Amino acid sequence: MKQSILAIDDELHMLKLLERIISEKTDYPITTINNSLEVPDFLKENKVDLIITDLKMPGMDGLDILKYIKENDRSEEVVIMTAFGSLDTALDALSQGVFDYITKPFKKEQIIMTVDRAMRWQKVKVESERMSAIFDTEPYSAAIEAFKKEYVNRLKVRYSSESEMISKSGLTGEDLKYED
Amino acid sequence: MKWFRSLFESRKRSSSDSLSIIKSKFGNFISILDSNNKALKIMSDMEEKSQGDYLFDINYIRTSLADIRAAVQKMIDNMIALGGDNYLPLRERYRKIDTQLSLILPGGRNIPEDEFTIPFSRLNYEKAFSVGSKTANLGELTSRLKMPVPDGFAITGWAYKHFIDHNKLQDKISNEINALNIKSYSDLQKVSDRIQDLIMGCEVPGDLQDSIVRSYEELHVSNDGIGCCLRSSALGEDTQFSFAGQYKTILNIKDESLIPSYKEVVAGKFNAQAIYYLLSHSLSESELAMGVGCMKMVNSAKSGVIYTRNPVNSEDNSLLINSILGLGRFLVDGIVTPDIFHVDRDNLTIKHKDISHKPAKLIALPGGGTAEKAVPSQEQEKPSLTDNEVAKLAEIALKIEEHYGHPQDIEWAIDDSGEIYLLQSRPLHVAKKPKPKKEIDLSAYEAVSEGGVPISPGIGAGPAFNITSPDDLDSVPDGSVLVTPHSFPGIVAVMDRLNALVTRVGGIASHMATIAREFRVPTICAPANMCSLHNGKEITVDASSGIIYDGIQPELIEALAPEDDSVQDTDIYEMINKLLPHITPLNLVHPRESEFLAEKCETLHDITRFCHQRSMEEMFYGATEVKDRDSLCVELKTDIPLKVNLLYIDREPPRTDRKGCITVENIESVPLTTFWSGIAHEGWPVPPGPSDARGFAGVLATSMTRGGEGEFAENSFALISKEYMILSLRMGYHFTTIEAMITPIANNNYIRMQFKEGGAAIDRRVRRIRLITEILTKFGFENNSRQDFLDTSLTHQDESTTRKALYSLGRLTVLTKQLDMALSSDAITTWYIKDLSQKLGIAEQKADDDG
Repeated sequence: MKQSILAIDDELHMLKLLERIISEKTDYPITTINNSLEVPDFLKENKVDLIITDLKMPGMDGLDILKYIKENDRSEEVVIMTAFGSLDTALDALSQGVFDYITKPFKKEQIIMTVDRAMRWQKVKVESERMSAIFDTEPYSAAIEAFKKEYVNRLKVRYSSESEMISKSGLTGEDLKYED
Repeated sequence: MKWFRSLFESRKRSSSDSLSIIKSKFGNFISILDSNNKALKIMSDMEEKSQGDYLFDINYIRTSLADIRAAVQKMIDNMIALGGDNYLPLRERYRKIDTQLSLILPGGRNIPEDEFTIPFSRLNYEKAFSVGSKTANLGELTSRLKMPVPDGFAITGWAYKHFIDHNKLQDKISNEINALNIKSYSDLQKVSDRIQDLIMGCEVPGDLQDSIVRSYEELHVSNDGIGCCLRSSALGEDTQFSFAGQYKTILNIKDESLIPSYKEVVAGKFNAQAIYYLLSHSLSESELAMGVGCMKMVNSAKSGVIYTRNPVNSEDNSLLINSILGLGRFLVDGIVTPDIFHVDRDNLTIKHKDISHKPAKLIALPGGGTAEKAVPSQEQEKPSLTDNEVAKLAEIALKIEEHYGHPQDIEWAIDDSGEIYLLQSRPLHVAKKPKPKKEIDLSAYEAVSEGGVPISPGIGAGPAFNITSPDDLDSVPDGSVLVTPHSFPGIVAVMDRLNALVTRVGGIASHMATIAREFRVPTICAPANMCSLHNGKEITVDASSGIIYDGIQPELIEALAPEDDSVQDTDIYEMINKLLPHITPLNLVHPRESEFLAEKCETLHDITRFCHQRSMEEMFYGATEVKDRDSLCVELKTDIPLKVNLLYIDREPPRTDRKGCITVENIESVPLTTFWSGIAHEGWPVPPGPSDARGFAGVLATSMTRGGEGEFAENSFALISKEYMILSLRMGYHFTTIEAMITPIANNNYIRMQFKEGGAAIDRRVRRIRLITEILTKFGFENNSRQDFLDTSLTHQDESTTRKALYSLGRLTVLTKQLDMALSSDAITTWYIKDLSQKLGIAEQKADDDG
């Protein structure tokens, strides 16, 4: 599934700039919310990979949003945008599990690099969870089956045409029956 | 640094009265230098942010402005303390510049105390903080431009504050607004209703009532004719934020309805869409007082709006006159589509006319109030203006534009006798014409509708969503194309959900059009076939051409979307770029020119430059109360063609020759002797030749604009003691300030160098700073520079290291003098870094890596 972003700031100017830069420089779809109180409802209906939020906002502030994510055991990573004067709070947020913080004003490249890092980290996390699940499988035969299934599904993603996949993988037609 | 200064300032006893006076001046002088550096650093930072590479919010602008204001005000206070009342005009200059800044970015100011009511004849634009821009502009047109404006008066922001305070309303209003969910239109409406009811239930204090009634009586409104209109004129309205049509205007009121109508206009500040607009632009409600303008009604036979530029196409050289029959409200509310006259701005000839169908008009009734009236069928299709009237209106409009120096949006009316009246003039936002990314064959796409009038350019697509009243607003989905018969209140509250907007009637001059352009929602009006746009039908709206295509067409959007959709054309960038011309340009350069006066300061940078220069002169020459100034102030005699005045701040100076000069050997100041040895080691340079024509042209241009001659003849100044110096060194186009302390105690030692400006273009100046800081970093300096503002310091080093660094700094100062001219590329800069590092005998690793 395509990775996506939610940006939250009570200031529309900032949201517009973020939306513009991220749409221009990346392929990730971005949703923007300027009333932080709407965030829980949005997250009940949607799942995103990265939340970029302002620190100081009326309603829920950046730390409240972080808390909501952690308490609900959600997988979204959170990046907090903060003014220079709020650096202490930002550092505090790091200890509470925020992925990163970024001090306003910031360069376009800075946010793009942070987004890129967060998205790669999310991919690694998902990958690691799937691999752990395979290793935790018992008995051994079931683990082998799970591994084969994972392997085949990945090949399908990697190669667009089936014939190419078969010729390169050395698998038999029987192996290819795995579907998600 | 603070340690030294406090030590110095705390000394109670001095060896002579003169020394004591010098010491007291020193405190102000140092404070000026500190504030100067602080202000210059913020200016450089704002310039850097304005160039399109950064994301920042309005708080950044507000904080930066507040800090610059504080620094400049402090400089002025210190300057007056240092030099006396001669510098009082700086306050007036500052006030004027500050006014301009506040007109661009409102907020951060208290509502100024003023009379409750002021007639137009006593108003001008500078009164905008007291009465709101709308009314202040009418005063400007009346009192300065002598334009035909109906008689009237302003009810000030101070009057509003009196009304709010008298009824203890502010806390109640703030509580309502703070608890609001601005995404829900119905919530907005409920809060709005509650606040408006609250206001309508309050009494207008007696003294305010008396003042309003007295001013009204002076208008001599006749008993049997038509009355006055009350127009909102919020403080902060029509600045960077248009608030177009957000507030209330009440037409044709008389006598007893005057006070209730005033309350109604005040309550109108809290209508749902205005609250949304306020909050969505991060504006503070309590700072935006509601001023009100009261003006004699014009019995309009026709009226309309002039745009002195085409607001949807900046390349069009036309002035647009929108015109309808009767009162103008049907036009700005988008109820009647106006005639549009396109006038050539160069020769005032009509290029073409779009004559619309005008079935109805609004008229003022003799007993008060207004009524809609059908237009006789034979007049419905006729042009509402004669060619002669068009020419007259265009001529007036261009005069107003010239006066303000910016395109204008002007409301006008013509009465039964043919007299023209101006009802409002405000800045017009002109959208850039989007350039398509690539050519595309449009015939491949099926058009549902053509011939729509572009209102706000751009392209957007989504499912159509039809609404007919504000009750439907809550259900408008994100990403839709809103389709509506005409504009109505509240649409602003859903603007950020829309991919495009289509209306049946209205026009380029309606308030909704202004808001759509501000929110950059592609908008067209009056397209053919509108009935086919049923709910859910997917369409693509090319609002630059007025065409609606069937389906969502990603290739079309990709091709027709503006080529460089950069951040530069966003509101926030536009704002910083409007503020900077009042902050950073430097007009005052040469102290010896007759124009180098407080009265000539046009920008905050001019004020800082002026104070910086004059503070040094006051320290050295202006101390008239120092009877034996000459005994403290001496001139340094060297082989270098640089005149340096020295002022001893801890004792009497060493013995001088007959001309009042001393030699380097006799300075008796460790930092200055050390630094000067570095300078003397290199000798005074001939400026390097620019490495390309642009460099030379840049310097030539700078020389010409800044006066050129005499540049190198200005004095340098140093305040010194045995262990301390602060040196303002004239380095061609700018002063370099070097402050240093050298003692046996490492913790007390420091060196700091700061400067801004230079002769070459900004990119070269920034490269020179890169060069200097990269080299100084190798000596242990910490770099805090911003753009072309150099700020670097070395602290807490032992005596020997600090001396070595200061000596090298002296050498480097000479080696980089006017080097900015030669730094035409990063590669050349890297070469110089390597070359100078070698000359100074420091490690080469960094330069090698770069090379």
